[in-house]
Amino acid sequence: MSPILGIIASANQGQFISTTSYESIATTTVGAGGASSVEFTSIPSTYTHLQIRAISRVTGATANENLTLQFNSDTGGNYNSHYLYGTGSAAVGGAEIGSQTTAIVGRSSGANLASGIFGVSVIDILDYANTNKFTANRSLCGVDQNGSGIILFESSLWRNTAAVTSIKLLPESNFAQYSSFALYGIKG
Amino acid sequence: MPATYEPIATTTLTSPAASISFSSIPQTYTDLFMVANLRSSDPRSGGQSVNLRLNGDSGTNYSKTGVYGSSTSVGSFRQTNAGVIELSCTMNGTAAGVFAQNRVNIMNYSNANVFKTVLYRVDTEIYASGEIALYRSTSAITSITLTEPSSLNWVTGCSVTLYGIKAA
Repeated sequence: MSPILGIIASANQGQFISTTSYESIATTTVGAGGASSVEFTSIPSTYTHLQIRAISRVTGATANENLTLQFNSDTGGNYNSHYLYGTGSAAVGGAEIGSQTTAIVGRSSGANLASGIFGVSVIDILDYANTNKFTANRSLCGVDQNGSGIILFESSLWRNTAAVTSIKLLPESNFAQYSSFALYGIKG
Repeated sequence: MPATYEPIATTTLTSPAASISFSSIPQTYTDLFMVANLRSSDPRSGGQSVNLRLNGDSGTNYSKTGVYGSSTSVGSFRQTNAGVIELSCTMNGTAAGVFAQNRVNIMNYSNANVFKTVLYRVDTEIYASGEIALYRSTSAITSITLTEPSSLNWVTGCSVTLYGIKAA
């Protein structure tokens, strides 16, 4: 039984509740050599939704760049994305329509930023095993670097009804060391 | 060993309080997730900021970028070299029962190789926003404090729950 730790307030409940409806499936952390991609394979179809929680940095000489994905090794033009983002001075909406070969799902910091700054992304892949529909994703992501940065709401569509069994995450350059991607399953 | 996603602690105020804090946060998770439903004793109506500090650090080590939409406008904002991360609350002149909701992710909170990034959504009765904040410290997060910016109180009924999320 976990203790109730260090709660300062006029009242607290602190009930310990253990749940198995949200489970960790796999985690990948990039080593010193970097990585051109990160892939989760053999994803079980026993959940209702998936969530990826990521911190990511790339080796490219940029402040930040897109984090994209492909499902089931599909490199065809079967993806579309829409986004709303803020730069600190402007709010902008946009889309990648037509036949895109990846879905935009997150944001990574780049090598131009201080070493401790990573982009973060929380990506929800909804009804991933439902073969009656295309797979839709939504995400909240961004990078802040104290004086500039970007925050994004993203949504994307994979125009395929197949159950998702693999996810490949792709940078525009290469993932840097300490980038970490955690895949979770959520039962309905 | 902790479960994958579990509550660490919950605070629900039964009387007004000047701050809500969590301390001695266990370092056994990967991310923290906090849901904070907040209303200030400020007698005005509308929204107000909330001061979030990590590890009691009151230095100008925080910054953020946000995007918002309301019934009348959409826009983006930034804070640089700030002494807090600002969340949102509802002020007490607003209709009863209305509390601003903040859903806050503190990613890789115990990772000594990274600065700490806070990714969150705010939903109030007058606007919605997505925000990303940077705490320029590689120290593990061991405490979180929420205070009202005018040194007023959080009202009865404010509730904050802290969850731990454990990656494989």
